[in-house]
Amino acid sequence: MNPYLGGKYDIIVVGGGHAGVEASLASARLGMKTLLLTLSLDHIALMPCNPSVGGPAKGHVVREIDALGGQMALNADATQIQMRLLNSSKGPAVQALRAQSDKHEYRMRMAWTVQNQENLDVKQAAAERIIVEGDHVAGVLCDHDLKFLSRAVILTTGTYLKSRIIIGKELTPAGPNNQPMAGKLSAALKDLGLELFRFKTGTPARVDRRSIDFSKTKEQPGSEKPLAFSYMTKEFNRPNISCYSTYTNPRTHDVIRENLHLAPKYSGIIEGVGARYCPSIEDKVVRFADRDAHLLFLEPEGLFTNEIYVQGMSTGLPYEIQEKFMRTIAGLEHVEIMRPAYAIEYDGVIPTQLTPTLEYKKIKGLYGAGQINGTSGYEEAACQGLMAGINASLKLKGEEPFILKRSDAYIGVLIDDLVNKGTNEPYRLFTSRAEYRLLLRNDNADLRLTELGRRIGLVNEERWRVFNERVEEIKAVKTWLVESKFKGSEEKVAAYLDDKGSAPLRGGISGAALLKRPNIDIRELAALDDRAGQWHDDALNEAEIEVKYEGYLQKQRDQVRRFEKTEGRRIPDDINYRDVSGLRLEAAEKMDEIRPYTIGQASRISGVSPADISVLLVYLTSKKNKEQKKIEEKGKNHDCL
Amino acid sequence: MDYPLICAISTPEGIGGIAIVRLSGEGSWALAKKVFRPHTPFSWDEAQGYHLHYGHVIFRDKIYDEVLMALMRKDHSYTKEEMVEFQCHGGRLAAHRIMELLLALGAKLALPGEFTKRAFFNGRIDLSQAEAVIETIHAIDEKDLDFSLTRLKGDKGRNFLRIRDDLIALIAETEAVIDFPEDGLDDTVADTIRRRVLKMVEEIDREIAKAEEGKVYRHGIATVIVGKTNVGKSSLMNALLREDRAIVTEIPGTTRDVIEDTVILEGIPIRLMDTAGIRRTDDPVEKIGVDRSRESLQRAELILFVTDKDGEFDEEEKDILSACVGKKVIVIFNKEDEIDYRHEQRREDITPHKGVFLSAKKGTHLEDLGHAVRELFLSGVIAENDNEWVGNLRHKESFMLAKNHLLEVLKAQEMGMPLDFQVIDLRGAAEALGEIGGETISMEILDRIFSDFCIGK
Repeated sequence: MNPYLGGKYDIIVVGGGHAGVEASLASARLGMKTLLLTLSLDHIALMPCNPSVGGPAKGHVVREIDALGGQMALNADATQIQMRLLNSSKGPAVQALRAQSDKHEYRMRMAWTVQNQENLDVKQAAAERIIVEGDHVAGVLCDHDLKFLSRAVILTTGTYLKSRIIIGKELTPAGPNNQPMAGKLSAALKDLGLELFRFKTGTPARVDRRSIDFSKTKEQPGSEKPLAFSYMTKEFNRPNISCYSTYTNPRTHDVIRENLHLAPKYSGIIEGVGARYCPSIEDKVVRFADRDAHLLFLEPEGLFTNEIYVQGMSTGLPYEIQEKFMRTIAGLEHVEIMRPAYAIEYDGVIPTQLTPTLEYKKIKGLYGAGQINGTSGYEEAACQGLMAGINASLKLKGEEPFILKRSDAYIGVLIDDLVNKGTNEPYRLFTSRAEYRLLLRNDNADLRLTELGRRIGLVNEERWRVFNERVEEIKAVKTWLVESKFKGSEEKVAAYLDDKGSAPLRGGISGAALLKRPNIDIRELAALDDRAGQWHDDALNEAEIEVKYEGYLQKQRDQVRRFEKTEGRRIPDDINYRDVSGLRLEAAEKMDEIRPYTIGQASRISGVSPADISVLLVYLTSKKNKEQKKIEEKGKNHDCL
Repeated sequence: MDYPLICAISTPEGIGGIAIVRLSGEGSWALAKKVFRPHTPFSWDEAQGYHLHYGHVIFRDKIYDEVLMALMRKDHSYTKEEMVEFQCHGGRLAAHRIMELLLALGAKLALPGEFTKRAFFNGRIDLSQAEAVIETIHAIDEKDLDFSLTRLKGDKGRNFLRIRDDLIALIAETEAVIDFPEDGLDDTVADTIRRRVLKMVEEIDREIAKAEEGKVYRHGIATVIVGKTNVGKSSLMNALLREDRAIVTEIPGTTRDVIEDTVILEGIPIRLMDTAGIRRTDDPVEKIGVDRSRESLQRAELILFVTDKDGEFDEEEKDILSACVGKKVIVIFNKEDEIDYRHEQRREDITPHKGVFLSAKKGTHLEDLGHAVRELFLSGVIAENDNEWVGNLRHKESFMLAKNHLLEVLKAQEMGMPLDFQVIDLRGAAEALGEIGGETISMEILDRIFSDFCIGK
């Protein structure tokens, strides 16, 4: 029986999560006829775990997505119920925005955006097989005996591939929140010759707001100042709802220890690999046996639900034990669970099989993005979706691929890590993964990437105008800083410096020089000088960072230059690693599998040591010298004639 | 895998008792089997490594030489590859003939340092060990040889590895505070950084001091003898040369016209620079012009200022001394047998320099000069008879770089710079320390190291 042909598209995106929506929006906005397939129309851009967007490195990524014309930042701004700036005292590069989201509003608003996007069809169907002709993708076969043809397919299957939910000893084949999972697709991917992995992740219980005694907890209010991920966000009329924190205690830990044998990890039920940085509460109790308290946060899940997310308490223990140990915690003595915590296992495709454009090396036109590549987190997923959507479109248009370097963006760091190192646990971005994080700041994401987004075609007129205004404003502030003169003879200047414990001025110096002193703030300087304009806080902030930390920024730029000199060196495409004498067999095999483009990329392949890179460098140099010599000799012969 | 077979003569040019031809790479044994006829037949398949076999190199009925052949197994040789060494009769001819035979049979001529390079690439030694090999070859002094050999052994006192590990642990702890702001991790991290960085700076200082002291042994002390005419400069020169019967060598110096003599005084190599010029001062007509002295003084690390004057220095001597500002100077009161120096008074006169009383002609109290040199140049950070790991100049550079980064961390703290800025220099320091053992990859460093090798090693 021939399946029914549901339609022909340029690009099909399989999965409507955070990666899928960005992939399909980018693709449609770049003029590709796009189809988004989802298991459930009700669950587009679902937040099955933490009802929040951002945090260190993640918040940076959200702004990068925004600069490239993605949707996540706009949607998070429009649906936030609390916004905070984290790490504000630890340095400009590690400051990050974090939004508490109304998870229902977030989902509905994103679904509405997707459904109204020109060039984009959204359909509910379960992809079961990928159609491949030769080594090129040709479409997707779905349930309902339905078929769609396309020139490219982007897999954004999240945690839905052959997933199962585990609560204590209870195993349920299901996706997050007990939704239907994709049962057939992972076997089909295996048949295509792709290698799979199996990971585990988990989410804590949701409890009833009315059953918590908040007087015993510590309030954590949102920022009073209006904050937003996107510079396009102009309305700040969202509610500001607090989170709360409290601690576990020895009694909590006793209950957990007594019931450890019931936890899936300790009873041996779980096969998948979990993340070290996101341990379940039973893991924390076992691994940090000497600590008698662990911090937890109570986070509201939205305006129209009483569900409270209990951050830090993810667990695989049975329902009864969950409620029992939570009731030992201050403020949670009478807590009522609305949904229990659960662990979830799922399949993914080993990401070292991808090129840096997120296309599978084996199957042309097939892309993978998001948790299928072994990452964790909405932000990590979204940025991959965006990059896969862009690259699939560029390839179909016959244009150059769009690859971000490690020194360009966190997105570049993430993808470089994934396709070279792979990952043996759910991969989460940290600021420490970026070598040049001082250049990859939260505040300059737009300055780094908007022009690139414009060139690709995802930055619209309005965004381009706002961006250019901001660039001009920053320029104006910097000019003022350099040209202004602060004189020690001026009374208000002297009083200000005295107040700051800063040495008095003999003559006069520029605002730029003054700003480099400790404790001096650009806003306060601007208030002291009549020639300062009425500038936005963001522009002042940007200029302050660039001037105050100029020395460090230069240091980091120098590092990038050095890095690019040795590590940016190209490896010829036709290199035969078996010819490189002295290269260890294991290293030769790894490099042959990844086929790195540069020395730097090769050095980040797991299983490749610095000595291996030295061998490769010497080989490339001697090869180049030999070729040079040949050319010279040829030249000589010519002279003889 | 493809291992091209390489061969080279490993003993130096010139006539000697024996010469060694070395062969390394897969197929070494097979090639040796083709050309070697043992006196006592043995089974190649069961032959053991580190065994010598007596016999002849014969090919197509032509006898090349009478040799001792050493076989070394893969993984148990210098290069970690299969190796063979032919010990043939000295002189170049026999060795050359054997090498040419091996080349004709398919071996390739080894490039300078290629054997050691293979040892490095095959993971037998790390970068600092590879360097130690070169330095063992070029050692000019016993102590210097000890340093190289200790580093070559590569197991003891490699403090740079430990300091780097500490640093990486500290970075990880600091990053955790940054990346998990909500976990309530210890906010005393700034104090922790300060305490540990101070300790690391101290440890690195010790490594730098060791490297500086090691440099004295390795390169000797560039020394100039100055003084007025007829104060006994050439006598001193001759006395020093006599003291050290085994004049090491006459090495052409850094500039074309300067000849250096190296003498070992109290175990310390002293490079007498510009001695040719000084010798000429026996000619009473020629005086050392102050300008000429100044130029030599620029390059010197030690100045031996010779005088035979009891009482005040005269104008010319004062001129010379003032040209020595910022240098280490030993004032030599020569002709102690003829002149009665009023010791105490003179000693005060010459501060901050050291004074030594001796007679160059009679050769008395030369050992006092040795002690003075030792006091000036050796802080005693390298203990006698202790096989400590002592870094070379390249290592010292890396240590200095690491130290500067660590000082930047402390400075950033004082300036009230946020945590993140401190991490930048912590990482910089770790990277600098990584250059020592080769954990940090740099093409320039690799090139520098392997360009110093001689063929056959």
